[in-house]
Amino acid sequence: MAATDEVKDAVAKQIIDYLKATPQALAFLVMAFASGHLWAYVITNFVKEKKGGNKEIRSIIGRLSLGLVWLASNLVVVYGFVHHSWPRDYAKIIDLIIPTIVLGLFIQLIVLAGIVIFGERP
Amino acid sequence: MNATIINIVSGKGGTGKTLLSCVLADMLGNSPDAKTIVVDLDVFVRGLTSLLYFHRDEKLHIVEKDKLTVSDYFVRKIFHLSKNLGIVKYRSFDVLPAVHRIDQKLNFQDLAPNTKSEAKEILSALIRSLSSEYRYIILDSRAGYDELVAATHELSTISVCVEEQDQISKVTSDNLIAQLSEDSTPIFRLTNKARGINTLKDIDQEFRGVTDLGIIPFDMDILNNFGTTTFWETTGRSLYRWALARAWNVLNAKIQLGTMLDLPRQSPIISEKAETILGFLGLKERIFFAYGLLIAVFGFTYTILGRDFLSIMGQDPTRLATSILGLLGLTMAIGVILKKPRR
Repeated sequence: MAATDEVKDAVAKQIIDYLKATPQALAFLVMAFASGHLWAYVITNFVKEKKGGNKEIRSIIGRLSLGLVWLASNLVVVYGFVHHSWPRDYAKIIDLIIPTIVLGLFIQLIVLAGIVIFGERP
Repeated sequence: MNATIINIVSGKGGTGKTLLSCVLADMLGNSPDAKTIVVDLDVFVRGLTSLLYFHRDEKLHIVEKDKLTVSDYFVRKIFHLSKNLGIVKYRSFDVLPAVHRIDQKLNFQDLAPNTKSEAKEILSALIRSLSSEYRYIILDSRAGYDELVAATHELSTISVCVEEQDQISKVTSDNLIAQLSEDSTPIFRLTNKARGINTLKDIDQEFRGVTDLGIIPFDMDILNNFGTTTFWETTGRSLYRWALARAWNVLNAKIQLGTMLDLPRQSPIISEKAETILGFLGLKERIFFAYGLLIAVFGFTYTILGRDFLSIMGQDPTRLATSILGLLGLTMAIGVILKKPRR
């Protein structure tokens, strides 16, 4: 048990050290949750019929995953636009995190505005 | 079945009793083993019956002629049980309308009970006719105080006094509660259409004592959609419904009514409490406001606080694009505020 706790502590310390040293990554994680939350809300309230099958998407992990997928997709586009290649340079990826968050959320709002303007599900 | 009788009263009109009764009945009606009926005791104003009128494509006849409505009980002075009630199904709950026809004129002299004891006898017969079939009987009483309100209070399990935040409403509620307190039926207070919630602490601090059920925040969506075809869908995801369920659960915790209501709503801006602060905006506007603000904060922080941003701005398209998007986000957020000033 003690060994397991030591491993847990070591992993937690690594993660905390990494987030401390890379605030962009922390921002990415937090905003991925916010973005995923908004996607989950839009899907369950404005698009998909409520049939009680949306529990996973509403969980914290579900929302975080959704946001990570969305922001990561945006990152690919932003990276490609700036560097004309697939994302592979870690330092460059970190540099592009904040513009990616802003773009990702902005597109989400545009999509939501489209849903509101062009009609919700009947 | 042993019915719980919930009497919804208010010191003055326009506090939102009828809407509150309906939304509460709808939530209870959707809960297991909680068959619910709302009785429209406001026979002259008949707001609840009017809701049925619109629900039934504006057909004047709400109830068949040979069935009994609430007004029949008082006009004909019915003191006995009856199985011939003109109950109408509405969404997940039942309604006993005030009258047969929505435009039916009533003679006050014929209708008004002569004494509180007569009102009590008639009401008692009406309630006994319903109590075997329903778990919850919600009485949508008229505003103010008279023999009928006094009698409904005495026959109920609890009374809930719906009030607004202003001082006049509070005074009228105080007066009504003082009158009703002659009887031992517990009375709870619920503040509806609460505005001026500026901090998250305000929401919890609104519980003023053992009889207080808290506040239902003002929700622009409820105001904008009342009476429209999208009303119930809008209500389903509104702050209003969430807060009412929360108030019910507070009541349930105090007196063990037995049915806990789910609070399945997920706030679009993550916290319901934070959302109540933006209650003066509609739901969609709240989303645009909160996330627009987030975009603005990130966009401008990145742009302005980034080192040597001025020199890089011209060379780095991402900074330029980010600042433009940040500006658009801020415009979106401010635009919503300017379009819908706080009333």
